[in-house]
Amino acid sequence: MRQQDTSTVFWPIDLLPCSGFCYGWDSDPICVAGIVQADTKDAAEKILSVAQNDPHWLALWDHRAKSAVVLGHCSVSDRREVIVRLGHVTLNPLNPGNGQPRTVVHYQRPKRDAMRFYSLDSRELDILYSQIVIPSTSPLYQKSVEVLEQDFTRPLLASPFDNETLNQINAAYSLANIVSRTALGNIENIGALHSSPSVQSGSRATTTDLECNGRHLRRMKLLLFAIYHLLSNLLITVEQIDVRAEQARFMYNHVPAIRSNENSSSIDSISRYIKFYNCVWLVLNDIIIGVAFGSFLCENSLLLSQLLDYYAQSYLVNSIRQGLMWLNNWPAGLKLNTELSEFYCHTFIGTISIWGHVLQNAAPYYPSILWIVGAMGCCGMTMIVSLLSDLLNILTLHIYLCYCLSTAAFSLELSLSASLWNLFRGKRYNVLRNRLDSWDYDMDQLLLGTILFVLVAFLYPTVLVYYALFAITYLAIILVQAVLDTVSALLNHFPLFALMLRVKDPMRLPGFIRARGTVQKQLV
Amino acid sequence: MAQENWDHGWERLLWKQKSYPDNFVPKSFLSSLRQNPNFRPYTYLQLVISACAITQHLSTIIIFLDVFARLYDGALDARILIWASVLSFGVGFASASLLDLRTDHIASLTGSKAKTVKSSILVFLALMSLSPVLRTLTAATSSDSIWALSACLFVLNALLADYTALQPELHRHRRLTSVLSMNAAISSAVVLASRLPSDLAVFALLLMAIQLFALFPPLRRRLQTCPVLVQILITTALGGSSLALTLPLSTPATILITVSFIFVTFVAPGVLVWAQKYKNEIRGTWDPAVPKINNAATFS
Repeated sequence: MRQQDTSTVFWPIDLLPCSGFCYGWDSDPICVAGIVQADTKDAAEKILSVAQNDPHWLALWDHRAKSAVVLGHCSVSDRREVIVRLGHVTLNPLNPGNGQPRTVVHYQRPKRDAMRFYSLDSRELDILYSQIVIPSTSPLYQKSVEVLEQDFTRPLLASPFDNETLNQINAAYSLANIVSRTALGNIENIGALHSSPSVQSGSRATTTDLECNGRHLRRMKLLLFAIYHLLSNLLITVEQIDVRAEQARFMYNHVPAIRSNENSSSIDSISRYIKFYNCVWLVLNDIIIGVAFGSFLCENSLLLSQLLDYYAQSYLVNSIRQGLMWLNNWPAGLKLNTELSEFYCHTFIGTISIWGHVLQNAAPYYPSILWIVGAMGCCGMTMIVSLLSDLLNILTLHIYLCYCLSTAAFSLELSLSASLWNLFRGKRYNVLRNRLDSWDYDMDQLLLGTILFVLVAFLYPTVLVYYALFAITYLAIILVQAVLDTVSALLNHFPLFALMLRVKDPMRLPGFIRARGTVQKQLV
Repeated sequence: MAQENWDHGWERLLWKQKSYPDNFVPKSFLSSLRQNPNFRPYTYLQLVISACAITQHLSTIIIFLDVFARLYDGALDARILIWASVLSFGVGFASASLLDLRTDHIASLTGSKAKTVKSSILVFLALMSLSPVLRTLTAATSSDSIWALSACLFVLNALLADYTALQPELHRHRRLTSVLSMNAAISSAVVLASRLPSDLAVFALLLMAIQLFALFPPLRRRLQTCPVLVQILITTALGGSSLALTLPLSTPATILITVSFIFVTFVAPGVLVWAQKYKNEIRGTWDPAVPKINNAATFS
């Protein structure tokens, strides 16, 4: 195979220089994987071909990619200088001086059995397993890559790096291992390696499709799913149960893969390993914190329920009632329309008083409710947090109702006044052309419209004030819910495992690749 | 070519090679300039007759304010006002029909008559139901703001009103060209009516406002095509009644109104006639052409 006239050579920095034949891949940047000690080129080639037929290597390496070949000869001189002859070019890879025809990039071969690898970006370690990611072996991905390569307007990256080189670099260490084992003649040991696991393509299908034997079953299934989705939109607890179920299913699907794949060597399985253990760790954390907090809740349920009752009555009922009565009596000197204000005030105070009665009747049950919430802590802290969030929602239902009413009135008033203002000026909104046209209104339309416009304009401050009160209250409730949601999201999805890996062994957590230029030219 | 021949062979074309230079100005330059070609000088009497429309409009506003003042004080019974409004509606409708008969446009009458009756009943009922709401609308606002708002809206109404005469041939295609002025007057009336003490008074005032500001202006525009004597009669009737109503309320106001009426009717036209001598309109062949639109009636 004729070596191409390329200008970049990747040389492994952790390779002990010795005399022999160096082998690797001779694609566009030449990537050297190692040095095999052999006497003749033919012997080296024989060892290389035997090594590449090793089942362990075959499981790791893609058949369609290039296979490794012998690249050239390497010799060590007395002054510990390495001279490599690749085809017709001689270069000193360790100390390349100026005027060398090739650029040499030093790289560290990642140890595959310690689960280290390089990657061009951090997408390989997608911790959020609930995202749908197309694996790179699927035909859809290949097709999209083919289509994208036909696009001549995309910017061509002039870096010598691409996926092919990356795969070669990642596999260099394993290849070197296998070749050295082959060279030492332990051919029978290679055959006795445990059988390579078949690459499991992701998790199993997400929906467990029952065998629907009839439309009756299918319809009931659809109905159940609809109710389930409706509930999960309403109650956060159901959503949390959903997340837990998905985590459980993920772990269950991957346990056999993780157990049998101790010596995981494909990038897919490494990332799945990280995801799996991250999930396990998060769930255990969750349960521990949940049990602690839950036991606290259970023990103090009586006291906490007394506090809850007191604060519910004083904040949720009494202060709103006081606020409404304040608005009724010309608040802050703002002169509101008396009749409308009275009407609003009576309606809302009625609603809130009814809810106050309901809360009073429910107060004796607070201790048992809190005890149940604490008992659910054995399912995890996230369960407690979502139950508390739902409890907050239920307790402030009356505020939500009043907010909906006042918002409806306000938005109605705004749209009415906009269209009446157009009538005042003699214009009309043309829906077909999306613009304001002059329009010849009838006399009675004009008269009634003008009178109504004056009416709406004078009632605007009253409506605005009541809307503002309930909007601010509802906003406060939403903020509290947001805090609870953040806590639960942190507990559910925090990438603890990845952080620990970063501290312990950064090479196992790939990110971007950066090259540092040591001689004049910069490469990447 | 000699310079004297340059005038002779001058053409207003720059793309032709000529003997004279490009910036040569001939004596015949600007010969097509016309000064005041469309000038039809105003005559004083014509202007005075046209200004009667303004006086009529202003006097209706004054009458309205007088009636409001009496209602506010409680000096006028609301029921009398309601009956007066209904009667004037009848009178106005009858005169509108008479005018229509005179100009021989009977065909569209029956349809529009039913429509008119329907809309008037609708407005009547709507006003009756809205009166209680309107009475307490501005209870929280101070009176001064209400007077100021009302004054602004009436000024807007007077400025934007349409004082031109309505050509009888075009009355079928009549469009309300000054919607904003009518709306301003009605809003002002609503705002004033909210100060009144009883529901009936509110209803009565609004009814009269509709008569005066919504139904009377189109009638006035049609009346402007009548002979001069009728116009002068109507102007004096309206002006006189407005002054008579204002006199018991406040004398300075009456004097002010009289002065302004005289100014609008007699002094302003004189000023306009005097200012005609400064008119200097230049038109030429370089202006965009003014299309002469023929009326549909002249095509036979």
